[in-house]
Amino acid sequence: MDRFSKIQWGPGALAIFIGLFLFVFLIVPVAKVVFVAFQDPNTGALTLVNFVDFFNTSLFRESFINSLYVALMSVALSSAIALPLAYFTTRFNFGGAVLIQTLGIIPLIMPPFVGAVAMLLLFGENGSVNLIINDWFGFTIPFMEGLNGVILVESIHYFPFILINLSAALLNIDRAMEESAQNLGASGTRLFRRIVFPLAMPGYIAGASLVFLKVFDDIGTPLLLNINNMLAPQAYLRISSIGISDPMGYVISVILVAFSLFALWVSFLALKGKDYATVQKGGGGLMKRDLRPWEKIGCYAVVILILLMVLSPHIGLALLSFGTVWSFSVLPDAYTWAHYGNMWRTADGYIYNTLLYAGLAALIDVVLGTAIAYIVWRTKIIGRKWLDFIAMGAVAIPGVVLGIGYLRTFVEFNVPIVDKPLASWWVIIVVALAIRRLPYALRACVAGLQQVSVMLEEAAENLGATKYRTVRRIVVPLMSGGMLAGFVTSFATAAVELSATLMLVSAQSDAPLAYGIWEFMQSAAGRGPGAALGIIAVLIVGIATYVSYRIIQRTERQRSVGAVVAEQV
Amino acid sequence: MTDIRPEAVGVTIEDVSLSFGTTEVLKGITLKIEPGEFFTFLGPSGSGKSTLLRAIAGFGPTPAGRILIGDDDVTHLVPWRRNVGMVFQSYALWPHMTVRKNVAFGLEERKVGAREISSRVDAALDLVGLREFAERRPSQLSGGQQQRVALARTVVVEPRVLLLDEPLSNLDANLRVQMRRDILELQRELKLTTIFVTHDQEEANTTSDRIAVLNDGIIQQVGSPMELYDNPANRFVAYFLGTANLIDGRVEFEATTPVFQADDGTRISLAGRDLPAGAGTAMFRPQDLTICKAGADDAAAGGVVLPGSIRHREFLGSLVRYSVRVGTREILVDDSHHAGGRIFDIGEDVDLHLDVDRVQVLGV
Repeated sequence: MDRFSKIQWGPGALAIFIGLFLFVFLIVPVAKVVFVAFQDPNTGALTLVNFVDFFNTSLFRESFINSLYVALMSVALSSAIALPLAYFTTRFNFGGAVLIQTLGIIPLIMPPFVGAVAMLLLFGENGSVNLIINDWFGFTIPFMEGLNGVILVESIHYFPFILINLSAALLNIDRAMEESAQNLGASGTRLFRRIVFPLAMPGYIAGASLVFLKVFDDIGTPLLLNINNMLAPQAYLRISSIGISDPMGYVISVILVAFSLFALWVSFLALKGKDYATVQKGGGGLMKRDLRPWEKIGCYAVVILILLMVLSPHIGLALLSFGTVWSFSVLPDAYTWAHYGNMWRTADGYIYNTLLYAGLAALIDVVLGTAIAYIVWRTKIIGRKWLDFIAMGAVAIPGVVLGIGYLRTFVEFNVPIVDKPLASWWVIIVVALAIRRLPYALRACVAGLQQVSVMLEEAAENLGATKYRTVRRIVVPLMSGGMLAGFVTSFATAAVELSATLMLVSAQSDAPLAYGIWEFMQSAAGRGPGAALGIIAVLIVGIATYVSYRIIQRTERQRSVGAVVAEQV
Repeated sequence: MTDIRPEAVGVTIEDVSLSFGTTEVLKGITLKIEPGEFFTFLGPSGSGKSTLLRAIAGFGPTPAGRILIGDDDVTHLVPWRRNVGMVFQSYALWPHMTVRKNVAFGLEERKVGAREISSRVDAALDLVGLREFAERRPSQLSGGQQQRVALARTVVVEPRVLLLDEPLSNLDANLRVQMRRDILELQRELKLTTIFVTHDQEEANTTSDRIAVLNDGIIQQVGSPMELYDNPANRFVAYFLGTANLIDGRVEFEATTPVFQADDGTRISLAGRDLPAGAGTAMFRPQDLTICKAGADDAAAGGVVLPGSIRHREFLGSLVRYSVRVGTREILVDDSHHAGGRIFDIGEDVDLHLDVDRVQVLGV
């Protein structure tokens, strides 16, 4: 009679398999890192001595302060960029709104370190902008000096997190919220301060804490700008120069994880119990008004200035990839295709590896994401919330920490047929990418699934379809938009990920694009080809994002089953 | 808080027109709402009733024409200077404030002293019976409670006029009946000029002193609920308030007697009426007919006899509503129901006796 009982073994087995995968490739490596940080390097006993050493070393104290300073300043500068953009687009009938919404997202399709070198050439001491300023006014501005450079580059790349979240929060405020305040006598700045601002606050904090987390964990940008006295770069430098047994790398990792968790906790607190999405039928979003002509000019000026700055890494990168010599001049001396030729001779392996790794990782993510989403939202398996929680927890693990964890954990595990340690086999890079990007894919899949009404499934079961057949014929086709969004988000961000990859690439032939750009950018001669490779990376990610956006739009038009695309990076 | 109230004021709407782009939403509305009156804008969705209400509150584009509250022309006044209280369909309670803060908001904007705010907020919450919920957040309240908070938040500022934009549409049926009584009681107690927007004729009939029926941006008729029901000005009003049988045709004269000649040949003599000749629509309610067995010589029923056969039957408790096929049209007839009363079956031939005194002829 088991055939007709309501107990389903399939999802249970699947849940156990996924749980095991997450345990081996997420929990164990991270636990290992934490454990080593608290272990005496000589005796193996548990101790706090490593942390004492850490805070007794002036370099580490300085790195800690610097990382905190850079992360906080980046949040401030990102906010300064994002606030006016979000406000203009949601408050005014403004032709620039579409421009902001599309161009504003572009920074996310390129990791910050790629543009860092180009930014030096544009904003550095002898860069284009300072040459012009010096020419006209006789002074220069230290945009890129020391930590300033890191802050500028990170802010330009990560401000869309605030823009997206804040715009969404503003759009979710029902017009009646404002109207009722006006009806009771409030207007102008008081209305903004007492109603609009508090209602948009959770969205802003969610975006700001993401920026903090991303900047705090980034290793590529500071290293390329030659800033070593920050935490994440120090972790990498300790492990790569002193070795896998040096405890300082682990101590730093624990601090990185702690701050990531802290940032996520803040964002959780901000959003908890404050589902302020108040839009009801009848008009969503703030009251929009038309701009007077001079206001319009002012708005466009601000928007264009910001967008120029935002696109400067891309512009600089393009110039760098086509320029012959570019030094002490506003623009390159002459233009050439040579860098693309040079790049192509050495880099086709990078491109192939990237497509392979990112494609596999995204595939794993979508399969896992769909399965987890289904298990969590459609079954009653005990512990299903934990599966979701652990998978989402990967957000809090910086790439460098995961990389160190993999090195330490899997170095002794020999893969049978290829006969080398798992830690130096290319597959481990794929696994790292998959784990790192799983939260984004999972969220997209959950969004897709939530738009499939349970009633549609019940209708199929009522007509005789088994659970498995229902999933195959109803659920998966209807959530394909969400799955595709998940795939592309995973793919696009995995294609340009550097921090974990940097730790795990053991042979040049296994290296992906981001690593290749990194290698090129190390030498002055490699900048041109490196920039050319960077342009290729931007194109791959950009095209993938655009295509998926179009496909999703089309499927959404065909049936009103939506998907979340905004989950970039 | 009822001791020193300002005198109730009226609202005057003079030739108000309004367009969204090329769509004309209001077409020359003129109305006078008396002080202290409970007045309703009734109409289907898209009729312009909400737009008109919002124009009184100052929301949406500035309309052509004039809007006066009391003697003040407010047509060009910003919403926050009008002192009209509006209760929104979605309640629009601010989720980041407690109930107390929500209710205090308008008083704070009016720079009322802290002690007075506190006592007036308490009084307003007492008025709607939610004093003990003052420290809760709106999300912790039921729909009906949120509605009461929205009301308290509006009346606490002692507005000159109370505007209610479909305030009951988000409540379930039982609560709606309770709530509309409470609103009416509140309005009577505060003697507030109130304008209520709804698409529900029952809500309008049970609460209003007068109703303006709107359709297509035009006022179709203004009057008390009973006037509108008994003497509808046109097909739309007849149809929108209650159930009506409408027969197209024209009024002709046989000597000096007006006769309604229906398009399908039926003739209804309207002796003693003062009617102009020409095209018109005869209107009568389902209760204006008596249903009898076919051929039964029922002298008591009298009137014009319309022979037909039963197509549908709906049992509505106190009455049975028949749909009767008469010639090419269906006529609705109500027959009051008592236990053991005569019930006609589907397909049965019947005679309908129409009381001609109850027939109204509407202009086209």
